[in-house]
Amino acid sequence: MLAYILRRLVWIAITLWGVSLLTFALLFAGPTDAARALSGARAQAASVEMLRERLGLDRPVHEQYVTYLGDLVRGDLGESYYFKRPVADALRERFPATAQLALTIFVLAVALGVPLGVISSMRRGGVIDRVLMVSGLVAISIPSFLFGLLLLYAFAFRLKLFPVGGYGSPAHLILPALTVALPWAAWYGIVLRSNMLDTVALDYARTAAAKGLRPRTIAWRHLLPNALLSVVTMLGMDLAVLLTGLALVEYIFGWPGIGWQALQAAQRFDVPMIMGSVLFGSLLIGLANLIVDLIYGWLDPRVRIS
Amino acid sequence: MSTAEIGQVVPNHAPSRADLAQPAALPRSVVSWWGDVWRRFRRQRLSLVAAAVLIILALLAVLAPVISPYDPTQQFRREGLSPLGEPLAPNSRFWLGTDGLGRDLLSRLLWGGRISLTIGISATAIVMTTALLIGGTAGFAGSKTDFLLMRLVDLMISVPQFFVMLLLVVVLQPGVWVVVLVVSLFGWPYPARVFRSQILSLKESDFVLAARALGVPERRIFVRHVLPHLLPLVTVYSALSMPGVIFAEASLSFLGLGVPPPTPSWGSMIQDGMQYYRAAPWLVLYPGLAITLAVVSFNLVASGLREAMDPAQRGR
Repeated sequence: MLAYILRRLVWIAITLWGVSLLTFALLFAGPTDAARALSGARAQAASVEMLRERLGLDRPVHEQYVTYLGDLVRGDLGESYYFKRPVADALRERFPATAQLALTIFVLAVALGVPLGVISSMRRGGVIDRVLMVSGLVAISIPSFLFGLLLLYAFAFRLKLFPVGGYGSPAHLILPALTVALPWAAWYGIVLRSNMLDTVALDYARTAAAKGLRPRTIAWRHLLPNALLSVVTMLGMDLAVLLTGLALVEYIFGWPGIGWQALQAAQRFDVPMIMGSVLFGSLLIGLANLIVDLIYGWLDPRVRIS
Repeated sequence: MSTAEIGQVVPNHAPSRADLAQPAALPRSVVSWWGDVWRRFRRQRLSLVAAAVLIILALLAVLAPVISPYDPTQQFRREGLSPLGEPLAPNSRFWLGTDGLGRDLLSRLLWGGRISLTIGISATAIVMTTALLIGGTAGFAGSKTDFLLMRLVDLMISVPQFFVMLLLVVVLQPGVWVVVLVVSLFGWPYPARVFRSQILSLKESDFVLAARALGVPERRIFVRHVLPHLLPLVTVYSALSMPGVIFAEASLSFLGLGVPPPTPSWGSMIQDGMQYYRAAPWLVLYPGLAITLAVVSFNLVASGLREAMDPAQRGR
């Protein structure tokens, strides 16, 4: 077990190294001159050169990479051009907001999606089932930023039930969380429903029915645990997406997380900040997948961790 | 010796009129594979409607230069804005109203669809080619090549996609072809995996063994005997890839990091409409509905194709 975790951690480290190498190569292969882009269109050649020297961009590529990697190992991601502070500090400061939003979405999506899936699989073709199927299709087809804007318009501008944006109180959390949680709940519901319907024909489910258990008991106690397993495999990737893919929602609702921060960096050519976000995101994804795989092994004894 | 003695079940009565009227085996008319797929696709009403919607959207995009009432970048500073300088609501002159710069929204919607769909289709072509090349090579070559390519796939799905897209757009600078490249970057790993596992099982099939026994070169076996069997998967995954690339393009353009202005795309129109969105919510709503309509249709067509191309359903 410990050996397995260690091996996975080594793989995460290799991934991070690969990512750092690729992003660095990209930066030098790309057509953009960072020093020039930063000093603006009207800057004098001399001041561009001065900036280039100050940022260390005049040294040979491999030398720059070795310096960068050395700093990276010590947890130093460099200095943000735009935020004028160490990238690692900026990430550390903004991460709790993203984590809070991501976990809220996660809990909401599971708490809404699981009952939806179970109920619609019990009443196939019923009202809830049909509503779930249609809303699920729309949910995966509407861009999250559009759905967020619609919620913002309806509930913040028109009905004035929630603040228009910002961070702090639970009221600020509700709209951005629902923006992502509602479509995801519909999606989980659909996946769970089809899994439940697949398990109904299995022997143990028929045994449960034959010994006279109520359909509700069969669904919740016997079918659900098995059907949930395949949802758990999805959760790993989904958690990773949530932790690193909320940029648009954070931007719309003014939620100060790492996604919005990366966006601001991208709009101002703040390369160290984006590179730091890419690396930090890779670390988060690696850890999220590891944790979900461990939970999966614990839930399903058939999976032998090797 | 009667036929019954060699184990065949025959009716032990004289053929009745009903039996004569319906012979046991009518010679079936020859149905091509695509004909069969179309017959089964047609039966799924919702997918059929979605396909029709996509054809209409494609036609509107192709015909945009002919049918749009105005030039999408022309600013009607006097007639196209209210006395306060705000966008106009839909009216008889500008059917869907105007945007914040007094440009005709209908024309921009048509031209925007042209850009968004072109980017979507180009990116899907790149995604499918890459997935086939990588998945095909990995599955067919096996051993070390397979291992290395699959680690590349692992790497691709363990990086934060959106952040990498941001980095790429910033480093390569916005432009239509950069957007195509960036949005197709993360589409291929999953289909590549599916293609690889399909090829792994095809490789073990008898017809490949037969071809090999006849001395057909490996490359030719791959192109002539294995690749055609991937056609259903490629078709379904092409339809499935469109929503992803349309979303990615819309997201980047929405952030002002996609197609550079004044060229309209559905995503950049939402971005333009954002600042008027209390006073003129339709500026956001129309391009948003266009994206949603296109994506719903692609999802429905994909599920219809999946159903129609399922080999287990063949001939039904």
